[in-house]
Amino acid sequence: MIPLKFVLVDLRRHWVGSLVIILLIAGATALGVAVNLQERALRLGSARAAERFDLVVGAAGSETQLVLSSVFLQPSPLTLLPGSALAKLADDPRVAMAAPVGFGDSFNGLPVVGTIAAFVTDDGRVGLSEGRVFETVAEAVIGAKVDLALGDEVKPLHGTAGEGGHTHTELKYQVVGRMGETGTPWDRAILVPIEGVWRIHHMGDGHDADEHGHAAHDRTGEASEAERGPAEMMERIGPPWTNPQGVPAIIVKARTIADAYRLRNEYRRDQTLGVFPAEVLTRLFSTLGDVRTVLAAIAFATQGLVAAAVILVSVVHLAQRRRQLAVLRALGAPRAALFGLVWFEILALVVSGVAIGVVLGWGGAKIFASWVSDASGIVSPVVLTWEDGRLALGLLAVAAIIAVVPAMMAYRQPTAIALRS
Amino acid sequence: MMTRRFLTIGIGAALLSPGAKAGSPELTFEQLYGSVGVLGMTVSDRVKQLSGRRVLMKGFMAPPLKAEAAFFVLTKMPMALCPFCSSDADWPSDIVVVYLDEKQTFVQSNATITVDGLLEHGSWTDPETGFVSLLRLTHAHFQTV
Amino acid sequence: MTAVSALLRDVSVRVRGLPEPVIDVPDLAIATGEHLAVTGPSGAGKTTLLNILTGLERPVSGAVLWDGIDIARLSEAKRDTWRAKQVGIIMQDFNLFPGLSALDNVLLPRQLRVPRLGNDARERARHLLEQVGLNRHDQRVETMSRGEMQRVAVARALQAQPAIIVADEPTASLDDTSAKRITDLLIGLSTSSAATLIVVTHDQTLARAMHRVVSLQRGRIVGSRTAPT
Repeated sequence: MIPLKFVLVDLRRHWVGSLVIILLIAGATALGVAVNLQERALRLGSARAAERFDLVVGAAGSETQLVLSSVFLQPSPLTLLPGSALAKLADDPRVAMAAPVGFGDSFNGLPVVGTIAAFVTDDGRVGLSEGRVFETVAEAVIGAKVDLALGDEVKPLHGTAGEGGHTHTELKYQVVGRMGETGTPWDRAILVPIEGVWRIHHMGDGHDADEHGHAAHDRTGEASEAERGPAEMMERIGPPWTNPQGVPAIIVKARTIADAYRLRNEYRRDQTLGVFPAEVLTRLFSTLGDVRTVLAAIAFATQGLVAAAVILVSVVHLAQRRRQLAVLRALGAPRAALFGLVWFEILALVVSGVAIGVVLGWGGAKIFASWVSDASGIVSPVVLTWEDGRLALGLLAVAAIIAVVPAMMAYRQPTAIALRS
Repeated sequence: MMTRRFLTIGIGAALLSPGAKAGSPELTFEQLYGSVGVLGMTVSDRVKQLSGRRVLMKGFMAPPLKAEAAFFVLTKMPMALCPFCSSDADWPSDIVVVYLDEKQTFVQSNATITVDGLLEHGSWTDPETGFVSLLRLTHAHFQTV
Repeated sequence: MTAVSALLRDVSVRVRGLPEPVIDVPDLAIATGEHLAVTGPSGAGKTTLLNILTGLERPVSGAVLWDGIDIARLSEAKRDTWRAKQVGIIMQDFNLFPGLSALDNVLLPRQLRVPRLGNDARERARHLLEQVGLNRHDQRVETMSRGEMQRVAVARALQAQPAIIVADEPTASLDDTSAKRITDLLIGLSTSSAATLIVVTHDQTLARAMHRVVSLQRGRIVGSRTAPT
């Protein structure tokens, strides 16, 4: 009924106005979409980064700090848990895996984290992308994005170079494996046996000397590094430990859901703190949700202003077109066609604006997410869902309704002015 | 026309979904387990009787074990904020695992929630998380009271 | 001059603030197939008379009968339909739509009315463009000369095979050669299609080519003369 060619020519004739309207709508839409996408991306990104961490046990202190340090590898000073806690958890029948995580050292700015082999493979659930898991205390597995090759040497630095740390000369690790990509800060970590971390910090290595059949040597291992020969680098590592040392945090995988809650409760007293990273994240999400609500309200207000601007522009524009509309009717166009013409033209602008806005918002969220990913290692999935579709459809529905105002003006346009030159 | 089709689908789904049926029988935490015998706790006759049907349960959402998951734990007591409720004496008689149809992140509130789901009992291992649960509500929906 | 096509009876149009009516025509009859010129000084109400005759404006009182139908009493939508079927309008400044080709301009009014254009409509449009002497049907109208533009407007007015052709100062903005050509086209095409032709004009050449010339002054018909044939 309404010739598309005519609409296109008409819009092209008023291209500056059309472009401004499209850009305004695109901007307002992009803002709303980006806020939604980014909030969702941060939420899902951090939730997925914590996927493998059911329960974290640390020394009594801040839950948030414990989770940030152990799950997201953000350096912060944590009190050590006594080694006995590790031994107890490792022996607990309700525990499928208790993995110590010892952080604090770095290499080229990358965190060096001491743990056990089972943690690297998530107890055999995930394979490595290259090489194998560490088998001796002088071996390391690197995260997917670490710029090192198998066979390279890692000399850990205490703290980070920026903090004026010093290089540990006692022990160097050889890279023997690389983990698959996880989209978490662990992609940029270097994983070593916890025994190595203990030894570097002049603690025991968690295994009594006689366990290794070296009865001739010391018992604690404390002053022994210098004396030990290369042969001792082949000592057994991993649990069970006869004499585990302190660790900042233990990642616990429970056998059943009920066990997970029971363990959380048991380790939430006196000296220890048991926390689900998920509960800390959920609290952060609700803050994030509040922020989103504020930003969404701003975006919504912007959309309202843009809607007002669009009405204003189309009404003004229509006043200039009265003659054209009257002429069309004089030539035989029915009123419904003029209504449709104006309505359709406005909606065409809105649809283009919203479509461009969704793409812009998505692009903006992508850029922000990649910046977050560079800064924190957390890969935030920027995905469009039904919710965004609903937002876009909602905007279109509102536009379809407000476009009725100028369309109605066109409908009521008197014809008498058609012949007046 | 599109709208009408969506509407029809929506209404159809609502009619087909057993959850839309009002008046699912209510199940309380007290009714979950029968006797505590030498073999541990056994589920009650009421649970056996209602098994495979949709039931309503009221409780609190426990602090989530996974930040993005298709399940959460329903507890009798508001565990998240009540330090006195953290006694382990009642575990696991006071928890039920609730499985939703879609993965989601949760908003923790300390309000009572009502869960409507298909009651299942017996040991079952979640293939994704490896967790074992004994009592479950599946295909569940929940809302704050 | 046999059958009476249009009959204006006691038609008057008033504008608020003016004591005198803009148009006051007690009786005007136009025969089917008649070529009528309306002349008069500016402000005499020529355009208003055209508006009344084509149903673009409704008189405050009186009847506008076209073949017995009082269009002054039709609803807005019915008058639109009547006009689309019966009337072809040509305007002084053409009112073509830039950006569209000559052919699309001719087809536009019909396109806005029917869901789909048939091939016969296209055929007719091309035929009309040939008749007005335009061969490049895809040429965009803004690239044409004024004379060519008015010829496109003539083709557009004739597209719906109207029984009434109305032209408001069709030659006023054209040079003499183009004006002559439009005059010939209007007379030739309305004669061949047996349509009634009503022109409002200052152009004496055009007026003289009509069967009858009616002079308007302050809304009243002050003179009427029939061309010597």
